[in-house]
Amino acid sequence: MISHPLSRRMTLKGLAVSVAGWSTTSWLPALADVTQSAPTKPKSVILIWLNGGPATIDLWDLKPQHANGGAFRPIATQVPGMEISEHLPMLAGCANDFSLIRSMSTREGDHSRARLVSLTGYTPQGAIKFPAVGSLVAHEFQVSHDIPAYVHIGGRPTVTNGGFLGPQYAPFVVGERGRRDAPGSGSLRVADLAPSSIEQQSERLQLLTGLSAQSPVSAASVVGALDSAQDRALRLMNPQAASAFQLEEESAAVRETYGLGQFGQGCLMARRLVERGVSFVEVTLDGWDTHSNNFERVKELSQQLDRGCATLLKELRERGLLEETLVVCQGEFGRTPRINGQSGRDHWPSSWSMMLAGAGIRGGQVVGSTSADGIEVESSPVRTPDLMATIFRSIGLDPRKQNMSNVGRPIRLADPEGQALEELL
Amino acid sequence: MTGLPGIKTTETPIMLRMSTSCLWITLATIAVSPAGEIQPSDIAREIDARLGIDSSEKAPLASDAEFLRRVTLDLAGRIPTIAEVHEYLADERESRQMEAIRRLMQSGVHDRTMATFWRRSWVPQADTPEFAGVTENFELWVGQRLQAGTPYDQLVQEIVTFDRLPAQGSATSPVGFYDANQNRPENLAASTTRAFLGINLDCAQCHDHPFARWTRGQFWETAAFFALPEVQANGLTMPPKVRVPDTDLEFAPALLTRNEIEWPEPLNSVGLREILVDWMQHDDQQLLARNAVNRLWSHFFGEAIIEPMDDLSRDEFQTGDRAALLDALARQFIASGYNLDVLVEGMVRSQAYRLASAVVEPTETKPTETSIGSIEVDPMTDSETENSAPLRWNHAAVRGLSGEQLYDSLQTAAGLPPERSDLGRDAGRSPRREFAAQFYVERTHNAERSISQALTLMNGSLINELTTMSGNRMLGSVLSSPFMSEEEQIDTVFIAVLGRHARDAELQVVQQGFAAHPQATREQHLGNLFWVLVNTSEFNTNH
Repeated sequence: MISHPLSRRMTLKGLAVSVAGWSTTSWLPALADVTQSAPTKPKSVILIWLNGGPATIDLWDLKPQHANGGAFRPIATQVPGMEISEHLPMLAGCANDFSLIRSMSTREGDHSRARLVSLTGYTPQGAIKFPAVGSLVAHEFQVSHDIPAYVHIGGRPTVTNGGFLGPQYAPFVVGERGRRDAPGSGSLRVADLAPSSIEQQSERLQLLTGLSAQSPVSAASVVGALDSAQDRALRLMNPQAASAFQLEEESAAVRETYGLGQFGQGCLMARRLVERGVSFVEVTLDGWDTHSNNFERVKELSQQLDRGCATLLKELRERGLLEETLVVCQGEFGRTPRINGQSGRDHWPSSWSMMLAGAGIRGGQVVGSTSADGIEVESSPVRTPDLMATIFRSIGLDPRKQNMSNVGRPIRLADPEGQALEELL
Repeated sequence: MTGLPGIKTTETPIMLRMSTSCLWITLATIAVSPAGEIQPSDIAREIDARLGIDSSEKAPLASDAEFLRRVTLDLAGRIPTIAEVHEYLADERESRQMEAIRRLMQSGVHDRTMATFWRRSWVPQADTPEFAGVTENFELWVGQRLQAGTPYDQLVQEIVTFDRLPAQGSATSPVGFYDANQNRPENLAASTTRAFLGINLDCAQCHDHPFARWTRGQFWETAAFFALPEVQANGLTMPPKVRVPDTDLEFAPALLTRNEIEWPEPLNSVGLREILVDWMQHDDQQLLARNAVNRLWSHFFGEAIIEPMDDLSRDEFQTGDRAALLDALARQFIASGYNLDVLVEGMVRSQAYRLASAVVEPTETKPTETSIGSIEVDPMTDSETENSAPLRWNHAAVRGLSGEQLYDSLQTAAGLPPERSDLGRDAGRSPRREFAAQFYVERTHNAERSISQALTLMNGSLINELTTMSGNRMLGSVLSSPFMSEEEQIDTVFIAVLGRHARDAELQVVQQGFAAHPQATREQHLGNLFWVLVNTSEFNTNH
């Protein structure tokens, strides 16, 4: 349980006193910038999740000399010798900021299983409830804040709960719950954040305060957990905290630079959240399951990715946040180098690429390589546990740190099989 | 009970590395008492004697209102209705508790409540959205089997020996157990031993654990029971061999106690698993019964007798008061013919179950089983001391509500029927299922709550609806009863939501609050009161 600097009674009293009119000032003493004695200086992570399994052979590791390469041309980047897709021109212009791994080699070719493994770092085993990496990071840094420490934007998180760490570390979901069809930024909404009845809120909080003070239920730990969640929810309803999700506060020009689609606006929201100290933000760009018509679809998705991701890196750098923020961009697997009969590519876990930037990651590097046809990893194969170890190390966490799981067996942050990629750190 | 067709019982079976002091159940004593002789009152008496609770106990008992709410939540999965509360509080007969217990156990929702409990115990992984379809069918099947009075050991047998080959169509079946384990031998082995025996083989899947009772070989030998027998060139069948991934190691099926197996010919997949379940039913350690009792205990008392529940076979859990309690109850459960109704009724009839909860828990600061944070000490040390500590029982645990309990209780509080067709099939993803999934808790005794959940309970559309006259039948009838005073109206909302009368001090707080907001209508006042009460920890816990 998070220990609050303020007692519950104080909190509720504060609410009742300042709620009159639901004003935007002095709602509650802000908790921002109050961090508990964390083992390491807290960093943030933004995971750009390319849902469906992106054709990374058409993004980061083009094969123009081979029939598998398809229609796209490579372009030069800021980094001599590092070429990426012609549909990622803005990213090409800031390649010094990021590094590529071109030798990802994993096993799972089924969407849900591959997502689970990619996001937890572990292969499912019996009843163990592996938490997502976002929950692990939030749990390690223990940043105490009005805004939840792990936020998922635009989609449905793969692990909806906090795994064995408990619901306190569950992803806090922004966007229409489970609805994928709502286009545009209008759907980047926090469910149930606004009081259902603002004019009734004053009476409700007064009664809640008065009756809670007389609660006949003993101070059991479950009661503490309920009260704590209610307090944190009320804190988030605090207009000052809730404003983190108000993209209207940004200028029209900035909003447009990110791209006006849900993904671009999600990247902007991610920047606003890490600015406020949120530990882990996931932004989803869906639609990469291109079994047919791959090139047309990947071109369109690349343009969204390019604007959103490059603008995010640029803004993070300009605001001095890039050293504190790790940006990870990947999906659950890659796609077949061979192009199928419908101009599509199918699932392909054994050789693919991904991108890392910021925090402790050295930019402008390329790890590993694939064969001329893209089918085989030719050097430095990287598996999920290696990637996980690298992610934890780059934000100053020890991948070997253990947490107790729900089956009474301690589990390390990253599968101990993994070796961090020293060349990137 | 002995002399099974498939298994040669050796004279001195090699035991699971257990200390000699552990309590063996002498099959002889059980064999002479015919099934059915054990009564719920025997079980209740056993519990109270072992916990040191007699009728002259100083520990205070729960009030009538608290008891009714507790037993209704545990047996029927919802809070009591206004009518049930009034009737119970007006009843002064000694027999009122027994009658309430019987009435609740005979209600159709009892089977459904217990079906959810057992399904969750057996396949906790099926609570994730990707297995939603699996869950529904499996729970329906369990509910139907419970309704039919199926003994527990037979229920387990039906699951473990389920034949998925014949087309099942849309019929209810335990196929969900296999689907939730992706029908992989290694997952099925880990789930079967954990769910039905309380044995944690998970660690042994990958390696021999340093402290371990189990080797990796034993894990894969158990997994092999879930593989398909091999047919040789000469047409004869052979037990299958499973290969440990990425190795050349292969294992054939073998029982954890190493009893010799006589393989039937021909050997098929179901026959193979029959050998396993036969052993589970008849092994001297009675882990099948002990695991069931331990888990069921946690449903009624919060913490299980032995924690963690998945590791019953540890040496250090074989002695002490807790082991003795578990063993005694398991013995009675077996003697009852694995009769779940007898066991359930026995637990809720005990004095232990009737104790008040209004005592500050001394365990509050102690890390719980799933406590978060790095492990500084060997986790075994902690649970060892916990499980060997003398049993002191002076109050009931405060537990969180499951998602299903919370939804059904909100509906009940609002005077609405919990949307259910008893054991019938829900159409698609019902609001109840969506809500229950959003408010899922793993274990009620250390339930936590997320911010999203708290927001939904304060600002969600369901709650919003329930705070108006049109969406809340209880408020509707209170508001259309002009003969009721304001006090009576307030009190009725307390009874509907909290199952008890409002106390004077509470009435005062509420009336002051109403007076301070003169612009609000009576409907809004009472809607606000309903909103507040469903957001209290009193409503959100079972205490």
